[in-house]
Amino acid sequence: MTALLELSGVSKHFGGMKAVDDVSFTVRQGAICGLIGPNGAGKTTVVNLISGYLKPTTGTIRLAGADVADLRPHRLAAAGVARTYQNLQLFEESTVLENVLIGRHLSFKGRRWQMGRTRRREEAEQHEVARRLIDRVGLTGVIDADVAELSYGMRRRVEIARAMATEPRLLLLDEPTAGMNRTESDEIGELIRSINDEGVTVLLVDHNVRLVTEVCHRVVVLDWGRVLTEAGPTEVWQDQRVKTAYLGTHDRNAVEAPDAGR
Amino acid sequence: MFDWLEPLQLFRLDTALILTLLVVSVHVTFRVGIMSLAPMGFAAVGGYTAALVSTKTELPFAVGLLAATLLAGAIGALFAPPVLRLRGIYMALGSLALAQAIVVLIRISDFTNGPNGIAGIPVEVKTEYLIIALAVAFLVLELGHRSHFGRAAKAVRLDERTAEGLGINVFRVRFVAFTAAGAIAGCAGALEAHRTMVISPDQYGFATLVIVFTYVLVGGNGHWAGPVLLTWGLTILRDLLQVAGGHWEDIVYGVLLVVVLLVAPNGLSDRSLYRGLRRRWRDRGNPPSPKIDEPAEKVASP
Amino acid sequence: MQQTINGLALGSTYALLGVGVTLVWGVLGILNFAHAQILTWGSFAALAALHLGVPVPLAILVGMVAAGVLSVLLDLAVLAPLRARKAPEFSFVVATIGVSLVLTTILRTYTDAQTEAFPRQGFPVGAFEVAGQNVPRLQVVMLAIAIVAMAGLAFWLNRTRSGRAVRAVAHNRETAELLGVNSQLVFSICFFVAGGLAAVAGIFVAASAAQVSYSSGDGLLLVAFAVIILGGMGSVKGAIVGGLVLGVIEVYATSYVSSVFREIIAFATILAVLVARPSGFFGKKEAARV
Repeated sequence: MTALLELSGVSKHFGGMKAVDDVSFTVRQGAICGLIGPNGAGKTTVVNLISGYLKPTTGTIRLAGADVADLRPHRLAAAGVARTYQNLQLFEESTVLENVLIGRHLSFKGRRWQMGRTRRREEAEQHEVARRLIDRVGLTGVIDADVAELSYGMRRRVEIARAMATEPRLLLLDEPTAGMNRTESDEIGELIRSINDEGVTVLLVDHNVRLVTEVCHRVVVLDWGRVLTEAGPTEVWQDQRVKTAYLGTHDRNAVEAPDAGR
Repeated sequence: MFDWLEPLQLFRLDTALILTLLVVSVHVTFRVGIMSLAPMGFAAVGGYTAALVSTKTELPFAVGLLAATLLAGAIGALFAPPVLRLRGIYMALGSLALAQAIVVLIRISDFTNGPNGIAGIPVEVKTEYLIIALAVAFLVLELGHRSHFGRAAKAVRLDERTAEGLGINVFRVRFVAFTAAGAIAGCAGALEAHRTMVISPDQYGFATLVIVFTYVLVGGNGHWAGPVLLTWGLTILRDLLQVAGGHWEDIVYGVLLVVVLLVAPNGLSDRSLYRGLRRRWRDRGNPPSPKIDEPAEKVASP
Repeated sequence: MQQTINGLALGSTYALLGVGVTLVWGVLGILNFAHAQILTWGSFAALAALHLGVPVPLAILVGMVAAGVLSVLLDLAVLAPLRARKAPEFSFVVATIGVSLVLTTILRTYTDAQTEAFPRQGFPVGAFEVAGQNVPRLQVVMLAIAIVAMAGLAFWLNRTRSGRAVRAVAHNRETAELLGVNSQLVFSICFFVAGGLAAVAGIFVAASAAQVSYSSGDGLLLVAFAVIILGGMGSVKGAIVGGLVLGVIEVYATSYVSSVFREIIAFATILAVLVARPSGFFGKKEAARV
């Protein structure tokens, strides 16, 4: 299988701080790739780089072979990259349906002036697509509720539905199960798998060991902005370096625990 | 068509209609989250262009009006890239500096007759023209509102970064809005010049801007009809109360604007305002009902 | 030489104006569009005092206190409630513009839109000779008072307890509050100081023009913004330097190029700085958001 996403030698410096330092990894077409690492390891920065919110200081990012490092986020969305946000970026005062419909922006044929029957027909078609997506993430019951009224877990699902509305090739999920209980995160795991079954490649950033082990095909481990290792989802936890780096911040007995304050 | 109105009432009707155009101009920018203080600058461009065309050339009024609209739109398009790159307070400052630059250039230039302004502009504006201009503006606004463009505009206003991530070209949306707003304000300025016969640089100041902002902010961002209906409603009201004209009117507007910002910072058509009211209405007499699904953190706490 | 003194004198009024705006911006993150009106009200308060036969230094003090109190009232009545509601940034802009219209209109109605003569008796007049050049006394006194005021401000901010509280709140409001600083008190102090300094600037402008009107301050608002953008928003030192630089440039440009230049310089500065640094001083905030 071919590589869909390819990072080579990517660095991002903020002033003197190297948030991401010479990171290279590839995500194969059709895979679910985990991206893990302790807090502050640079995971979200990597997601921001891939989705175009940040430009790498050095290095190249390729999507299906084309260099996308200099594209603005809206161009990347058009190229098939969709994402969710670690700290939820939903349109709070809009309904679930409206949020997902905004995600349909790219697939509206007449994006500006349309009237009469054409407009109504397209609007109806798009509503249908949005409804199916909302149904899929299990939110049909609250389709017309304002997002602000929903629970945390439900909002995470709205965000996934909205990202899927852009019909992505690559879906970036930034901590989709943060703050969820075990049942909820298992359901998200199921959802990720079913999205992947349709051929959407997934890059999953999460702290949830169970989820990452059960869902991912490959796991990339970041620490101090660098790639520590890359391995299969079960082997990765055997690696002593991973244990030290990733669990070290939580486990006081770990050898040479890195600074927790970072 | 409007012969049955007394001249004074007709004058006020025209004033209100032209003000409505300015309200539409500001609404268009606010709709996509551009916090611009520039509209009076564009109105000045429009007013002076139309006045100069009709006093210094033999060209008909329609040419002057068209030139005013196009020139104001062109200046909007020209300055959109630098202004739209700014954020927050810097955008407010940059757009204010742009508007002031226009007004001061008019005040110090000889061909605009400096601080004295231009007098003797022929009265060409008929109420019918204003209604046609507004009807066109409303039609375009409604089509935009109903199309997917309206939804994208809302997303840009609420959260441009997220909108960008969903494939919306934020700059293009704002560029279109800023340019259109410039053209509309220019058109309003030209119509105003051809109604009052006299214009001077000093009239394009904060006073009108405050009135327009009051209407737009009170009317809210939801639909163009909010600010427009408010403009007409308040015009009728102040006519009935006979406070029109006079300095106290400015004070009333200033105070009203501040009060509204305090009571309903997002305008009277803000949805969260009504959701709160709805809930209170639903819950009257009953103990507060839980939300559809309480956020996890709240459930966890005793 | 004389031009330089004139420029510095003009610049010192600009600096007094800018320091107040930048202080409020630095501590509260609010740009006060009513600042120019507070200046005008301060000048009128001083004028009223002069009409009552109050000696000049006391009249200046009256103007300062009046403008300071007005400035604090603006904060307490309008801006504090907006802060409490966590209103968006633009609400503060619109609210202060609204207040400025109200203040202007009240003065315009009260003065019947007439320009009032500002008596110069008691202000230093005439000129004295320095190295063969005539230097107007008023300008020198203006410069001296401005220097004293700014030195006092610097002393207050750096050496006193309340000044340190102001800096602590500017740096991080929550932390300062946790450490027991009363932030509303700090805000009021800042608004009072800003209003008082604006009044001094307004009185000098009125005294050198020998007149004052309800719209005297209008043109100075953009000047104040130009000063603080030039000096870096929120920096008191920057505002002083920016004010002096702007004043000197303006005087030189007026006498050597054209008086037209004088009107343009303020917003040309704003536009130039904003275009050169489009992200303004905002870049960090944006990067941190996603």
